[in-house]
Amino acid sequence: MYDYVDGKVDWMAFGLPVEGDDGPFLGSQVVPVPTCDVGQTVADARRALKVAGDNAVVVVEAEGLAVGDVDGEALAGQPDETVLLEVLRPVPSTVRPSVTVASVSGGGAPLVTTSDGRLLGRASVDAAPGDEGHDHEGHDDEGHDHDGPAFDLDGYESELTAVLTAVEEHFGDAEPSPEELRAFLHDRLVAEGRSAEEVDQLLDSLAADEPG
Amino acid sequence: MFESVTRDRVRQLIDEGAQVVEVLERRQYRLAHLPGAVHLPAWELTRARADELDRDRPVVVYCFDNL
Repeated sequence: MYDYVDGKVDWMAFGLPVEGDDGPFLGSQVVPVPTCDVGQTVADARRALKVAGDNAVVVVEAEGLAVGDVDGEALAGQPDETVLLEVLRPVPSTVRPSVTVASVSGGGAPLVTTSDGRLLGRASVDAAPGDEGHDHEGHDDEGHDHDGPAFDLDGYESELTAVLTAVEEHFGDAEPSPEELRAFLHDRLVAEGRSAEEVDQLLDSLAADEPG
Repeated sequence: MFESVTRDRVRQLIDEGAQVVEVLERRQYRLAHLPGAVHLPAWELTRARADELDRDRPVVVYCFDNL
């Protein structure tokens, strides 16, 4: 058994094909943007802009996390040796590669990042963050579980891999009944700090999702 | 147990005939899934459902992302 831990978002972030009712997705329309590290200087940013022929450079920290950007205007008048961390503008709203192109319509080309804030590039479509599938700090999307983006990350989804392992370890070769499975999941989620009421609601919603 | 794999390895496994399983809810699966992926929600991963898979082929399981 193999666990593709980066999951569907990672797959779509690289514009790889998917099947299903929705799309096209932003991940297939991402173009590179010039970047500098937070520790680099204004002179470095000017060079990066010149080489890329772009009007802004995205400032990233370790592991490609986007923290802000600087454009030519922000660089104007700044001493060459000024560290970018001192002049950057906090990163604007970003969007996930897993949202549909249609969901981000309206002037602009937002930065595209993974759920954990890693910069992928800029949307090549004329798009701007709307109410769907974006955030300001590179964390997961919250509160969009009905009319929101194509892929909303409810809290439980991020734990599925761990749950799979836990179920396997707990039940071994025995096949649990639905009631046993529910009781196990209930206890586990409550032990992790969720309220019993919240867990019951969650499990009810999962039970309503019958296999298709 | 599970062996963690990267996107490139997944592509390789698919090329080699692996079965791909999405464990998210049905709505998520219906909207988009990896090519050829079957839907097997995590909360239904009982032995009976697992028996629907071909034991002679590798199985790649995926979720939404790594959070």
